[in-house]
Parts: sequence; C-alpha cells; structure tokens
Amino acid sequence: MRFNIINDEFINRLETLSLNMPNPMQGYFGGVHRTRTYGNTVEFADFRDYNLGDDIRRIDWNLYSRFEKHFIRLYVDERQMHIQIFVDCSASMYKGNKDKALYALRIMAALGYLSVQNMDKLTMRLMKGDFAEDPCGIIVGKNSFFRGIGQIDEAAVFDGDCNLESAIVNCENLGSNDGLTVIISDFLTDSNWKRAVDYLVFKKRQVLVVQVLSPEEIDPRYKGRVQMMDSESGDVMDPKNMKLKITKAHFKAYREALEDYIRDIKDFCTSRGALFISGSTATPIEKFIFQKLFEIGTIK
Amino acid sequence: MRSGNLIPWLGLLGLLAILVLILIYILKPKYEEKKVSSTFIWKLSLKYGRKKVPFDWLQNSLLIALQIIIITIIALLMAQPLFVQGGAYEGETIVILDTSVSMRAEKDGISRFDRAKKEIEDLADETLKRGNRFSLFVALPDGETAPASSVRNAIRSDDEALIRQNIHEARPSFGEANLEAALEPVINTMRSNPDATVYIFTDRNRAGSEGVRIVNVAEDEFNAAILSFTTKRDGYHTFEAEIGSYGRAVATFDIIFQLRNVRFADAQGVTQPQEEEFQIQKTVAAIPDGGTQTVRFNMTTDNIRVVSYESAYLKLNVDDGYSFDNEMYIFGGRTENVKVQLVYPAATENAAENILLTARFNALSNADVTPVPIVADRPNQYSSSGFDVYVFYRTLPELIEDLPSDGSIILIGIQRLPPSWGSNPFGVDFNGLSPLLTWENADSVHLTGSQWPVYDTVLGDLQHVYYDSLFQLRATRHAVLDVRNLHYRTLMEIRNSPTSAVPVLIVGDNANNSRLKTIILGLDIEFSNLGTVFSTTWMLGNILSYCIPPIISEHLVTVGDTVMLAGRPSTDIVQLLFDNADGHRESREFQTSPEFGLMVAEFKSIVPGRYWIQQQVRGDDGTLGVQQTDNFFVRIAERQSNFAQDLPPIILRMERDNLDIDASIPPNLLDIYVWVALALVALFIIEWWVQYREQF
Repeated sequence: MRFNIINDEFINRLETLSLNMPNPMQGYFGGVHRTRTYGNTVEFADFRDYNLGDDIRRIDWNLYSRFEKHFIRLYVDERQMHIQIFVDCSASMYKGNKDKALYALRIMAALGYLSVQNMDKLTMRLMKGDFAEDPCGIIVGKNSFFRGIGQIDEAAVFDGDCNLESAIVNCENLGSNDGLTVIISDFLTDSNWKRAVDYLVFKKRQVLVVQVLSPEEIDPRYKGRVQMMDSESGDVMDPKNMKLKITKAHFKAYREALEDYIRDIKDFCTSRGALFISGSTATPIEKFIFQKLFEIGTIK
Repeated sequence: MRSGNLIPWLGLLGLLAILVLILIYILKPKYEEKKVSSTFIWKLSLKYGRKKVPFDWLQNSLLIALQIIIITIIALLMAQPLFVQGGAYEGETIVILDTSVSMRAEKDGISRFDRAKKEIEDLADETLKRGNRFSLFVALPDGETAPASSVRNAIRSDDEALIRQNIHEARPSFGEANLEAALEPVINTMRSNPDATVYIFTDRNRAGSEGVRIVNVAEDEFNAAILSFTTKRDGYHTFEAEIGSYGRAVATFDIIFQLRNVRFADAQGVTQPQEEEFQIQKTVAAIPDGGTQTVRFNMTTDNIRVVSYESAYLKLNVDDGYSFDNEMYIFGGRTENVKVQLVYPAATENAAENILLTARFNALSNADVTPVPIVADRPNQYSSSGFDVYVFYRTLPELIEDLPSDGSIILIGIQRLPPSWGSNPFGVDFNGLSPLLTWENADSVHLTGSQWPVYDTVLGDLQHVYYDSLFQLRATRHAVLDVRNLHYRTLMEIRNSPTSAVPVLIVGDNANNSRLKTIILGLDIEFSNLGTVFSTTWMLGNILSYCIPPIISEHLVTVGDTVMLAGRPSTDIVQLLFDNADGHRESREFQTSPEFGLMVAEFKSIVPGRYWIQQQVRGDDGTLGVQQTDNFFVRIAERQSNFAQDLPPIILRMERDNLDIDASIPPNLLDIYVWVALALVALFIIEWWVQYREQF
C-alpha cells in the first residue's frame, strides 16, 4: 500500500513552523525545548545562594559587591523530547474513505517532521489489532525521518479492527515525562481508548488526540432501506453490521449522537489536560495543520 | 359479462389486493447494501430514539399509503358504487303539520295551530340558512284536500317564498288528521334522503322513533266538552250527557238543556199537548282536570215523560278556547209524517172491514190519512199527486193512466184488474199474465213458522217475530199472485202445507214510472183476520216505511262521516242548509233521484254544526214549497275533545332500518367516475415520483 504522504512543497511549508510543548517536561539532554530545570545555556534564569562545591566561575561578583554574599547565576535548560505518534490502522480509516488514512498519515508526517526539526526523538507507530507496530524505530534527524516515512508508507496497511487501549498501553518505551504522544484515529471504536489516555497522562506525557472523520461520517447521505456493512466486520452476520430504514429522524439522531460523541471526547481530554482536535478530510491538510494545530498551541 | 350482483364482489376482491400489498412489504423488504467505514455512530444514534420530525410517519409510509389508495380507488371503480350527491339534501328538514280540529284550541287568543306555524317558520328559516332543503307535509283528515287552493299537501323546496306562502296559507280542519297517511309521502321522500330529520307538529304527546321529533304545541288550554249526548227510548225518551273538562284543576259551569216541540205524557200515559220549548239549566259538579261527569236530565217531575220531540239541545255555558264541543243536538225524536190517501168504494164506507182498515191506518202516529170514498159516477175524484202513499181498497180506476204518477200505490183486496189495463199493467212484462191472476178460496190457510221482512224494524227490540208465536194470521180467501217476474219481490207468503207457499204481499217497481212503487196485498179484510189482529197496524207501518224511506240516514254524525240524503218520490229538490267553515250560511241543492227511494246524494260533512234538510216541491207556478224538513248534527270526534287522551305511537313505521331505500332513484346521483379516474392517474404520477426519489 503506497501513500504519497509527503512532497517537497508540503515539507517546505513546514520549515517555518516548530513544535511547541506547552507543559515543560523533563526530557533528554540536548534539544531545544525549555524545561523547568536549570542548565548550561547562556540564557539567564535565576540566582541562588552559593553552596560548597558549586562552580565558582558562576559566582556573580557584582552581587557580592553589593550584598557581600555569594550568589550563583543559574541558566535555562533546554531538553530533547520524545515525540510518539500513534496512527489507527483499522479498516474504518481506509475502507470507507481512503482519504482518512492518507489524512492521518500526513498529520503524522507533519508532526513528525516538526519534531525532528526540533532535534526531538520521534517514534511513529501503526496500531493494528492489539499492538502498535514500530516499523522505523526512534528517529532523530531529517534523514532518518524521510527514511522512516518511506518505511511507514510501506508498512501502513489499514485492515481489520484496532484496540486503541491495548495497542497504546501495551506499547514498550512509552517514556515518562519526556514528550508528546499523538493519537490519530477516527475513534469510531468500541475499545476503551480513554484508558490509554489516562495511562499516558499517568506517564506524565503531553497527549494530543486527533480525530479524523470523513465527510460521509459527519453528514451521511444515504437513506431509505440500507444494510450498512461495517468495514471492520468479518461477515454479513457480524453484529457490527446493521439494517436500517433511514429517515430524517435517523439523520437527526445521528447528528446529535456524533456531536455528543465529539463533545464527550473533548470533555474527557480537557479533564485530563490533553489536547483534542477533530477534523474532516474535506478540510485541506494545510488548513488543518496551520490552523487547528496552531490554535491549540501545538505548533508555533 | 357484467352482473349487478357480481360488481360489489369484484370491488371486494380488489380490496384484497391491499392485503397482498402489505404482505409483500412485510415479506420482501428491499435493503440496499452499503459499505460504511463504521456503524459506531449509527448504533449510538439508535439510543437517541426516533426524533420527532413533523409528518415523518407520513413520509415513511408515503409509498405504501399511495399504493393502498390506488388499489382502493381501482377497487372502487370496479365495484361501480352509486354516489349520492350531497348538498341540499343533506340535513333536510321534513315537517308534518297536524291539522286536526284540536289544533284550533286557543290560549290567550293564540291557537295551537298558529303557534305551530310560527315554530315551523322559524325552523324553515334555520334550515334554509344552512342551505338545506325544507319539506312541509300537511296532514289532513282522510278524504280532505288542502283548504286553500294554493296550498299543496306536500311541498319540498328550497324556495323561501314558496315555503312561507304554504305555511301561511295552511288552515286547520275540523276533523282528525291522518298522520299515518301523511307518513307515506314522507317515507317516499326519505328514500332519496334517509338522513333527513322529521318533525311532527301536533298537540299530543306521542312516541317517536330515532330521527323523528314530536313537537307538542299544546299549552294546557282549557276545554269543557260534551263528549257524548244520547237519548234512550224505552217507550219514552230519556237523555244523558257525558261532560269532560281538561286543562283546569277544577271546573264548574252551567249547562242548558232544551227540548223543542216536545210532547209529554203524564203519569197515566196520556199524551199532553205539544210544547214549543222546554228548558232545564243546571250546574255541573266540579270536574277535575281530565275527569268526566255523566249528567242525566229528568223532567220537572218524575211523572212527566217525553213522548216525542223535534230536537234536543245541550249547551255548556262556559268560556273556553275551544267552542266546537260546547253544544250538541239530537234530532229524530219524531217519526216522519206520511201523507196517505185511502181510496175505497163509497158503498163499503160503513162496512166493518173498511172501518177496521181505516182504524189501522189511523193508529199509525205518523200517518196523515185522507179517506176518499169513490162513488160510481165520479170514479176519479181522488188526487193523483201530493200524497206519499195511495191505498186502493177494493177499487181501481178503469184507466191505468188515472193512477197516481208518484209515490207508492198499495192495492188491497183487489180481486181483479180492470180489463183495460191489459196484460202488462204497471209496464211490467209478465209474459202476458197479470201479477194478480185469480182469487180463490182456501180452507183456513195461515202464516206459520216464517219470518218476513215486512214485520221487522217497527219496534227495534222485536225484530225477529214469528207468526205462530205472536199471532195467527188466517185467511179463507186469497189472491193468487205471480212473482215470476224479477221486478217483484215477495215480502210475505202464506202456507197451507209445508211445501206450498203462496205469496200474499209483493212489491214491484213500475217500469214506466220509476217514481212509482206498487205493493199488492193479496188478502182481504173481509176474508181474513187482518182487521182484528193488532199486528196489522204493525205491518202497515212497516209497509209505509218501506214505501217512504227516511230522507236522512243518520241524525248525528262525526266530521268526516258521510250522510245519505234521500228524496221523497213526490219531492223535486232536496236542499241542504248549513253554516260553512267561515260561518256563512251555505245552501246546496240536489235533484231527487229518478228512481224510487234511492238516495239523492252522499254528503260528506267537514264542518261541525247543525244542518237543515228541506224536501221541496215545485208548484205549478215554478215556486218551491217545503214539503218535509229534517235536521242532522255534525259533531267533532270525541277524541278531539279529550285533550288528556293518550294517542298511540304513530312512528313505528318510520324506523330507518325498515326503510326500503330505493337505490334506483336517479336524480340525486353524481357521476364522479371521471374525477376518480383523474385522481387515479395523479396518484400514479406521485407514486412514480416517490419511487424515483427513493431510488436515486
């Protein structure tokens, strides 16, 4: 399965952006993300009393002349973050509307590129069934990123169903307090993805939930007597399939159900300090990235 | 081939297609398979239930509803039903107006009839305002036509002016309206409009069926009434009346009883001279509402009894709003006078048998006998006209032309007919033989064991008289009479053996003069005991009654009854005088019948009151002179006086289930097949459009 995930024009537009971590985290040495700890950069941060063993080169002698007491100058610390992006590879992301899969991969690529551009570590995982596949490992640097995108393009097979909870919770090397976890899915699933978010919050990771929906899912057009075959169903008798004589009343109920479901996701994310955006594949990917991600402060 | 019975079944068969259609919809739902990314939200939406969308049910079922309507219309067209046009006939009001005389009862100057007309006018206004049709049926007494020429017994119209005119000109009658007869045209009207509402405006409470409303316009009007006024004759006359009172708790009033030209008999039975007028006034005891009281009228003392009277008159001296039953007459208390001319040979004037015969005629109280002895040189000195009965005893004119020209001729003791009369006397063909053949002796033949009409009717209580039980009529000589001609009827026979019967009294019509009746008595006073038995008077009286029929059939009749008027043979004109409905004296004249004794007219009385009959004779100068008078009284029906009397329900036949709706009545049918077919095409188009919309 080949997706034309990125191209030069798309990359060029991302050059002007950078990934932002609103919540300071511990991270790793190196990188460009400010943290609450003090480091060895040249940007002044604070003073503190001199303690025995401190580097005397950091004593601020001007203050000593004024207060006849030794103070140490402290500087801002910048850390490297680990960005982990999970993409839902269930059939619902592809079989109903192929644009959803491409849209999700492009969001993943955009965020991944911004992360490697900030010298962060990047992991791109494809969630299939109960597991999250990591086809390209930890990526640092643009060269690795482009190579990883190629590997993702080859490994991305959208089929079957996906248990978001198991795929994320059971994933190794999730890290702790060291970066951003992005979950890209349509969230049209019975799996308890909220537990996965809770688990990530427990791990003190910044969480960004991205919901991708196709226009048909936002405003279905079919009506009358319809036997709806779920893309993740095994056969005709699968309980996921359903027969319905769709009327205007059903449409009205559907819209209310969808709105309530999106509001529920948003409320849940807000309550957990996670970020949430929902978008339609009808919205151009550039607009989604440069507007919606910008609005929630994920990029700057 | 079309069949009238099959057509509705075809429609029913067509309706079965609806069931088939519904089964198809149930068994073969057409679901379009659609691959969707996820049914997750759809399943969530089911928890929200079906949202209320206006007319969503209609939109969901539009297709099947359309198809059901289409099939129904097709079935309807197959059944070819009759469509009754709506409009003016819907909510039609039918009014039956009772015109019985009791509707004339007044209270505060307004009669029940006027009150009913006012209510009918209001009802007509209301009906016409609704755009419905109004029908008025005037229920009249049997045989009567509408009182005003412009009023029709039945109108059915939506013309307000016509309805108002007919209501305005309707008049109450003096009889009993036949409401049941009025229902017949109403039922005919309802055949074309079974949903019409029927109102019956009357003055009695009566039961009505569904859809029939009885409107009682009575308002407790006061009425004192003579329910009956009768006389009983047991040798003498006694009078009795039944008085009723209605609409007042207790009523007390005076009554006046009058006798005109009355003759009393004293305690010894001696008849007193005639008194012109005798009057009794008395007060009736208090009569409760709806009660009656019987009043008997005794004379001044018990020793005086009424032998005869010209008229008895009873009047209630009361002021009520219903005067038609406040007075009543009884006539017929006196027997009609019959003018008899008895012609006999002068030689027998002093003979015992002649004296006996004269005595017998004189014994008849109503016979005015004029004896005429005939001497030989003046054989025709008797009168040939002006008498009711001419009796020829033992003598006859030589020429048959000298016989009287009218009335009845009784021949008694005639032993032979004059030769000049020929073999065909009285114009009756006896095959060359005279009815009076011979005169022969007999050995004490007598009347036994037979009953003859000539012995009936004088005394009502003794109608069936047998000679052997009452008297023995014997004869030693009698005439042999020939009654083979059918123009003669035998009134009496004598027998001398069980098998042989000889007619001795025959009566025949004169073929040459229809106003002449001939009676031949084949016995002679001299050769029989006719002069000595008292029943001879009785027999002669009956013969006179037979010769002179009553000029009136009854003296007291009810409105609507028919009175038979008869003319005396000697009378030229029968005149009837009475006060008509407008209170004006009216006179009607009837020519007497050319045939003897037959009635001259049937008069149907429709106005209550006293009627005068005058038998008039035209004199030589052309003027009319009164020969005989009589009266009769027309009363209203007793039921019309008794306001409290419950009348039986009359509405049973109006049960709508029993109405035989005439489906063949064509005028009110509307041919809507074309429109139904157009609607069918339109529905097909809508069906196609809906199908297209669902599929694409």
